[in-house]
Amino acid sequence: MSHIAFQPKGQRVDVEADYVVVGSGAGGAAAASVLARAGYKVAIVEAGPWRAPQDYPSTTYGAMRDLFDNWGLQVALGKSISPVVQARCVGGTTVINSAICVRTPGDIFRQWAREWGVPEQGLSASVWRHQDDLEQELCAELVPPASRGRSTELALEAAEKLGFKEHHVMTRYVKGCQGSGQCLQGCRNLTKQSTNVNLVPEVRARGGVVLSCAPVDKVVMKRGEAVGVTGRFIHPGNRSKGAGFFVRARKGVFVAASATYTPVILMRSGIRHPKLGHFFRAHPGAGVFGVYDEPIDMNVGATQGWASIGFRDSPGIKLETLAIPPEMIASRLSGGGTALMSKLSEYRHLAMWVHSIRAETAGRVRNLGGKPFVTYSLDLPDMHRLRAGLYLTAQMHFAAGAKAIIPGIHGLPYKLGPDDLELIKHAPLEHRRYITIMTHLFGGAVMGGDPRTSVCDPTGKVRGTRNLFVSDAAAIPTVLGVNPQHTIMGLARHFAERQVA
Amino acid sequence: MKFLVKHAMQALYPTTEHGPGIDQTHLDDFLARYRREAPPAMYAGLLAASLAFEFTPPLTVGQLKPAFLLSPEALDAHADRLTQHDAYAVRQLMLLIKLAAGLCWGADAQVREGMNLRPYPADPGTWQTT
Repeated sequence: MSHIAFQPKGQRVDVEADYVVVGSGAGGAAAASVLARAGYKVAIVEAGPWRAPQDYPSTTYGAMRDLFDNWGLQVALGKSISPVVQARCVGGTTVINSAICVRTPGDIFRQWAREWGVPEQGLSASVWRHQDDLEQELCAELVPPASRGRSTELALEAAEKLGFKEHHVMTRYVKGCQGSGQCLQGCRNLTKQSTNVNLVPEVRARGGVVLSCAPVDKVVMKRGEAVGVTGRFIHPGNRSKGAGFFVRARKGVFVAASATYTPVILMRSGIRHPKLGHFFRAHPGAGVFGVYDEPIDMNVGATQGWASIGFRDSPGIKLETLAIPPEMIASRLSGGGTALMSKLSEYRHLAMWVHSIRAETAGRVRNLGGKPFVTYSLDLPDMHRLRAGLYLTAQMHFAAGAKAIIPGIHGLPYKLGPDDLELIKHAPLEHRRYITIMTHLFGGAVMGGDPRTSVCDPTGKVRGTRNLFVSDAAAIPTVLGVNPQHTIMGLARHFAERQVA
Repeated sequence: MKFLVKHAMQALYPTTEHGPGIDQTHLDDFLARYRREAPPAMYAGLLAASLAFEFTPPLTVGQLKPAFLLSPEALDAHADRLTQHDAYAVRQLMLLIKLAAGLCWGADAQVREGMNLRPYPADPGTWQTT
């Protein structure tokens, strides 16, 4: 059997493979595909269920229940509370993201070498070569004009008017986007190339096995060698516990369970490194609504279509368009009662543009009763970046013809006109006044050249072990300032390839 | 408790001249499903937030009575002011109600029609077993 889903209590499930990969998202699936292509039997062990596109939910409620990790309940706690958005299903977060494909900037490799002792020595060439392959395999393409939607068109116009040196229509792993605006709920049109529809089935076809509904409790270590993983099946409907499982690894184990779960799995497995769980980083994001005279209908068209990384170095922000569904919009607008309903009545005329910051802040992941507990508080320079991003986004809306903007900063008026922009520039810098979300997570089990500060060596191998590797964003020691899926996949393939070369 | 949750949600998402409120959706069915399916911590948070909503009119409209005894005008003012309260914890609690209620209200076919969006098909709730 090449797919083992939930098994009820009873006899333990035992599987044996050459390599075990924990997690089936960008990092796990990319590493697993390299190992399988090299002729090894690979077992992918995924905590969530396998939902094919016909199983995808339509509503946001369904997405939270069926696709998100613990209903999206995970947050980063600090001076404020920011949701941490991750998926828990075969395909991982690639099922619910916008599949944005951006190559790893060259300066990132130089930064890793300079600050973390990760030697260049062909690393960038290797990652870029894998990214070339992935762009072919996963059909990376520009959002087609017919699917861009009015919000993306307006953002393009605004960026031109403001003379942005760099801005672009997004390239995504989407083959023939139909603009259904349902990236968040999983693409039922079968156009988004999340890993559950390509790389994971390929691993099965090459003789591998997939365990779904199978959260890994720990990696079993014997004298520094990873010999397998254990856990217990969880029913995806009623969350009841099922049979235990043991997946034996003849050659090695790759952990790719996300920047929050990978460190915790390593902690539960007895890995003792003083920096395990440290250097957790993210691209915290916030958004500004523009209010337009014309209907924008932001949920008609691709969920995301336009971006700019022209401000990546200074002040350190990335700009994007983003459609949010009606279910979520009320929690983004202030107020309640008839005032809220009046605000919601403008929905068709709203365009949401967001920015995420290339944050310097580092947080921490701890093991709280076997689950990740994330602490993270934006420092002052990052708060300046956050505010600068809101100001820039607001400027764009006015350049595009918005009659007002909704900044979403507590203490400022609900709506601002073009003459009020200075209010954003001088808004207080307390994080609690802003609505932020944690996107693009990194670190927690970072790679590096210094054994004192890095959990993994530059090949992704966990220090003090012979064959345990981290092949996801947890190994990445810095933020990128661009969308990370392409980097995670390229790096995971680079790590896996080194083991089979 | 269900009465308090419903009351808070209806106060936050009332029917107005702009369109249907949450009272015109399948709120009872939604709440039953939410209680059955959501993680216990999420439902407990919703209950706590609803309790806070009902017993904080003194903070917003200066009246020493629960929200369900307020006049419609005072209740509306309470709903608007509490969700924009200066205390971060209060705003976060109210967000729990707005988020849960939004999942019900925003998925309603009538509401979506007003937003030029097609009705959602049913969530299959299925997964691959083989």
